[in-house]
Amino acid sequence: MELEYIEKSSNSITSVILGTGSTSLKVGGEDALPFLYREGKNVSLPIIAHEVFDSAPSDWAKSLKDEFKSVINKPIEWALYCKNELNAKLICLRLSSAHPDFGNNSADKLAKLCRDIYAKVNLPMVIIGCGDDKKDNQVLPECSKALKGKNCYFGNTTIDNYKTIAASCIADGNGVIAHSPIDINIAKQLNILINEVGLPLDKVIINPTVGALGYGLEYAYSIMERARLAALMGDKMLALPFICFIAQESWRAKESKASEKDNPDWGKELERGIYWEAVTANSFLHAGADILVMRHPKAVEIVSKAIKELTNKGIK
Amino acid sequence: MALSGLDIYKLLPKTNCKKCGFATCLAFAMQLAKKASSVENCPFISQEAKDKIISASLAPIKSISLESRCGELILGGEKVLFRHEEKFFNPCAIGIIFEDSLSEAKLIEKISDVKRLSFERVGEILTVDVVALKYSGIDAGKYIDSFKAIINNCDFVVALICDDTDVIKKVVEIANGRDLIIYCFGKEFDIEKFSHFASNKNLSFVLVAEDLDSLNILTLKCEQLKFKNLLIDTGEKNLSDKLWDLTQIRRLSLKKHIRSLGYPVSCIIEQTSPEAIINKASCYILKYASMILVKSDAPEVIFPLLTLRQNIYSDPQKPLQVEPKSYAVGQVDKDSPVLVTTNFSLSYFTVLSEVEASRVPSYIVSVDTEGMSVLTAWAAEKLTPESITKALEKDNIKDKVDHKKLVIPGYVSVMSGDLQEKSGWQVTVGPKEASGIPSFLKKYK
Amino acid sequence: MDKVTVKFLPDKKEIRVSPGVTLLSAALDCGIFLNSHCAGNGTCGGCKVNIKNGHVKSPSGHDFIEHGKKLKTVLACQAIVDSDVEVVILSESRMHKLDKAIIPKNNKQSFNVENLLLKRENDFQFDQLPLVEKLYIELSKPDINNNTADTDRLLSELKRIKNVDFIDIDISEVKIISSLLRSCQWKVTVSLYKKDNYLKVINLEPFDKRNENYGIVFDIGTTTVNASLVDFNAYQVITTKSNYNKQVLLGEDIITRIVFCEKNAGLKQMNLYLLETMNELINSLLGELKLKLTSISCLLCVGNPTMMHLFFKVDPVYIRKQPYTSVANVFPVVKANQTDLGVSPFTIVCSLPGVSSYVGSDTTSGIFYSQLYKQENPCLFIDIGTNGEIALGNKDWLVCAAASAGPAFEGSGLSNGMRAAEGAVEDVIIDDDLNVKIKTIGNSSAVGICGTGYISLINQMLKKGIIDRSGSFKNTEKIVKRNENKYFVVVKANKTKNKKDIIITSCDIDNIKRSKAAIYSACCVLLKEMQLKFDQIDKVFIAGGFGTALDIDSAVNIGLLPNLENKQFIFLGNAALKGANMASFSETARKEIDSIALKLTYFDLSSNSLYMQEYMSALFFPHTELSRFSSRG
Repeated sequence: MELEYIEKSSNSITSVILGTGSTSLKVGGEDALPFLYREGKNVSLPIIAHEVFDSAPSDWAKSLKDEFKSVINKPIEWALYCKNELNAKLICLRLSSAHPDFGNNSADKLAKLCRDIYAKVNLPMVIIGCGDDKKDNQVLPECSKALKGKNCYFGNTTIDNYKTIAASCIADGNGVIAHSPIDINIAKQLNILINEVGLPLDKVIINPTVGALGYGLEYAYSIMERARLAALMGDKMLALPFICFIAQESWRAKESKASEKDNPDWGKELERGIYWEAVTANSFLHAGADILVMRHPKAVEIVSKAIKELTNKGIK
Repeated sequence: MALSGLDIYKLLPKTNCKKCGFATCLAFAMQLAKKASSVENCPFISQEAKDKIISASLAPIKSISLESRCGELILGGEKVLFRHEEKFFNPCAIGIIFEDSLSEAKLIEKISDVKRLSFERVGEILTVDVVALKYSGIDAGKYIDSFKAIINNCDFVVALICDDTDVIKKVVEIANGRDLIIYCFGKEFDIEKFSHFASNKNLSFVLVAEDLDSLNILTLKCEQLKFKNLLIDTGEKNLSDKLWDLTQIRRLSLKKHIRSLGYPVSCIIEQTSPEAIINKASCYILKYASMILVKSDAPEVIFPLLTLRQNIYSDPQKPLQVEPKSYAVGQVDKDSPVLVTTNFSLSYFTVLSEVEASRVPSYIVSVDTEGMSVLTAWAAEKLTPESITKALEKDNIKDKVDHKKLVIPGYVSVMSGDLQEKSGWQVTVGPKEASGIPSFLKKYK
Repeated sequence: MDKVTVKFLPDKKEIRVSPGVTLLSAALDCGIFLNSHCAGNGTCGGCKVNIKNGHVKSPSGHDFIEHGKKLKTVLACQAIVDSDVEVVILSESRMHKLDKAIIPKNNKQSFNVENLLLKRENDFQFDQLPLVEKLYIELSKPDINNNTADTDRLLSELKRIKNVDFIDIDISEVKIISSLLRSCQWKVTVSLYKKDNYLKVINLEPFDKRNENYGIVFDIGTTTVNASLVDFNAYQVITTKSNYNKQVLLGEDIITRIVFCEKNAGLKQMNLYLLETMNELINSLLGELKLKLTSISCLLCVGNPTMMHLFFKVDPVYIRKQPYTSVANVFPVVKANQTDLGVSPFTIVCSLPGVSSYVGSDTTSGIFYSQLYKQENPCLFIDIGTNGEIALGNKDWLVCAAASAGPAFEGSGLSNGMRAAEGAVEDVIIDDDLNVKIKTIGNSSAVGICGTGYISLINQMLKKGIIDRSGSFKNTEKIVKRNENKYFVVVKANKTKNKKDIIITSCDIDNIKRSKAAIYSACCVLLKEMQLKFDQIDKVFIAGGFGTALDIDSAVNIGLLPNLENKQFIFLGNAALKGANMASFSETARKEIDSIALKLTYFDLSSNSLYMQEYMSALFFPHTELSRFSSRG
């Protein structure tokens, strides 16, 4: 008796290239569920993006802040640190200082920052706005212009706010991060809408919204599983890579931040935060994540190891 | 293979006699498909049809039940490949491995460490379920003494990882009716020696073989010997091969109905580094293991794993709830706004993250709506002026703030007048979608 | 206190009322219907009127100047009459009379919709056994040798004629039998009601009254009540009338009405409003033919379960609460004197069987009319109303579900929505420069937009890129933005009857999106539960008021109807009423409807997780699964 059950996919995930030249990266392209390399020809390697903020984050856990102490106020150095010390292949730049209430930095200033970081670091970049629709629509087009032809990815675009950002990405040869609120329908609708204004699907990466371990992780996990299954069964509008913002969720959990003194039975504080980030990241690897946006170097190291083992084709 | 409602309907008499208590045969068939009724309720069904329906409803993966003073532990019995298809039923057991080389004092200390691995999350206590004792092959007497120390000091189900059948026999004799899981390790392990124990429901056996074909031969042999409680394990491998095995076993038993592989799967993680345990265990929890034995009892390692298990084994149809109470977000003071939402965790967390994003310190009052979202809860009369008033009173929120002003979700604006009257709080209608909260809070005084 | 006079213009209707009543109820008493979707709570703004002369007490309102004269606009439901007053009814506040019903549309399609309106009546071989049969009997007079009791005498003769062992009779008939028989020389007409083997004498009339045997059939809808007068001798529908269900004043949809019943005396008032509506229809039907009340032998009512509860004054409260149970799906036959209907007390009131708390006798009779249950291959039946009912089945099985579509397709709850009445925009074409051409019912100047108009409008806005597939406006110059609201002008003020722009807002589009999603996803769920795909569906029967004017291409393009070939859609019109008419004539029809109710399996969508998934993915134009609608040209 041949004890094997092979699922053949009728479709594969669209390959998306980030960046240009020798540092460019390919994500997507999978034609099987995550890491089942025996039934798929292309099981691509998930990538970890290192998160860099344009201004010092105010709400970070101490253990996290300590890791970036020397660069936390200097986004360019921060990005260089990620590249040189942490071996980053992809930078996720967060433009939180654009927010009208928290810095209100101008589009020009931030566009210059994007240009400078790219010039110094020369890595593919994902650039995320401040979340204020109006301001993002001013800032992101300027940043896209500043990175014209660099094949960077801009977000978040949402179903209520995609037209302006998508249009400037079309003009500048960049791509978008399509953000939906843990909802497979809205994820797909947004891809359709973005595609219909003229951006090709291989310039779109899905941000499905994830929950941290213990905080709704399973919703996002199942939404991603469903989307990936539908994609492999032929749904082209869902067959796009996923980017998951792991750290911003996991480090908000009280289990990541609570001190050992307050919770003596929860174990070591520093490791707890790291493992919380790593387990959250691991879970989404198995749901089909292509890009994991992470923070703690130690968590990055653990998850890199998991990716390496999961993509090791073994003996057979 | 599970029959659909329509498949079952075709086997029923189609007379719509209502004797089963349902309006039509089709309605009854739909309930049978959901296992919400029994085929016995139909007085006119043929024996042949009845057998067909019953045999189709047998679980494709058998379950075993282990008793301990901690309660019943059920392993296996899974029905789906992906949790959104229905749910994962029986949470995978997590166990800690002890070496028999530990001194008795050290062992007892370790046991009490493991007993302290208990974490409360959303009203549920998360604990490990199993302790395993590994035989180093040197001193059988020490092994037996260690076993005694374990059963005298804790109520966990005990697993024996031991390749010496004689030692196991001795342990079984002194087990005193405790449920044991016996790991049949090593090529030499002769399970036939235990065939007289086969029908003993206190003993479960984990069959180990490197590939599925050998496992299949082993389980068929044990079935002939009438072994009842079996688990299977494909041994130590690299992570990607292990993921493949686990996926294949689940698929073959569910999709190809290979009942000889329809057993709960156990995994041992031999590495002791936290990193390796984190990586392997999260993969096994997500991908179909029913028992995982690890060599670490560090709370910072076990806590996230138990939380992942809780998440993945939650019912996707039943919304996860947060404790209904008032939550302070940020550095609240006596002027902080008070916002109302439901205790559906997604509603709560969405509101929470938007309040955080607004950086306006606020109170969120999550009303007990049995986990329903705002609109559903309103329609089902779980989010009402009464329930909101009750939530406000229960938490004495009026002592925490100096004002009596309340923000309710935009979707339930209709109740504002009534609520104002019942609660005595001045009601402001907030935005319909949580995304509107930051700009709302900035303008709100 | 002295009564005061309220005068309504331009109707020139006057009424004397006690101070303290609202303008809304004064208008109603005059027979003037104003929009009142919020049940008179002052929130929907549908009942605006202008105060021309005099004064009312009103919490809100605004003043304006016209022809140099200061006028005030108020909400009629909030305005309290305290002295003589003259009021001008704004035409947009008026609920349009249904009597000017729907004018079938001259269709652009390659086939004629009219041909698809099946003359179902011709397809049936139905027996001529009406609900009430009148028998003329000449009894032998009693004498001393045969002094059998009068009632026994009548019943034994009846049993002989009908060849049965038992015939029932009520005490009310027994009480009058002796004097009646003697007054008409023992020549009497007996009205018999028959159900299966059960026979009952329901009325006795002197002499031969067989030629006066009529019935009235009611289809009691949430928004509209339809009634037809049927002749049981000629087996003909003589005439059909319809009017708004007055309950609309107490709430727009079923749920609001049930909530209203929970108020003190709420049920009583609901029942009263419905009976008033029905009595008006009875009078108007009888008046036309100058028929006597006594010639009506029976009434037959169908309606959704809530309406049936309200008609029989049975508390519907549990319909709304989990696990959603109705008091009865089949109501007993009663005499008219047990209701407040304005017919002879001997008239019987019958109904047809319903299925569940949300699928009632209107659906079973509609399914009967569609003949869904006789089809070889699976077919769909869709009744588009405030509560949309969907059935799926063939000769072997039948399933059904109810989807709360909301009143959007009936033109309610939208900025410029109106019923399909004169002046309603029913067809829209937008050219490449985004100029809008419209067609209105009756070709008169535009008053508002009806359901078919909205369907056509949205289809055109999608085609011309005014909105994207999620329904949100694209960045074109034609979009007006006021505060946070965006809208598109469909008809410019100078071309409308009220000289105000007729517009469609983002909110309207969302409403229509939700309504179409509810109907389409209910169809999907029934199909999925039965493991069918749309391409296995043979025909789609469409029932409901607007069925005939609906443009299939538009309805498919926006994702309301499944993507099937035009020829697969069959329009039935008001199937519920037509089916019930036939049931009044024919015992076979009644039996078939009974068996439909027996075998119809109800799926509750509110507890169905698949429905929620389907609904969410249907909230897109036409659908998130574009491929489901892709093959259409």
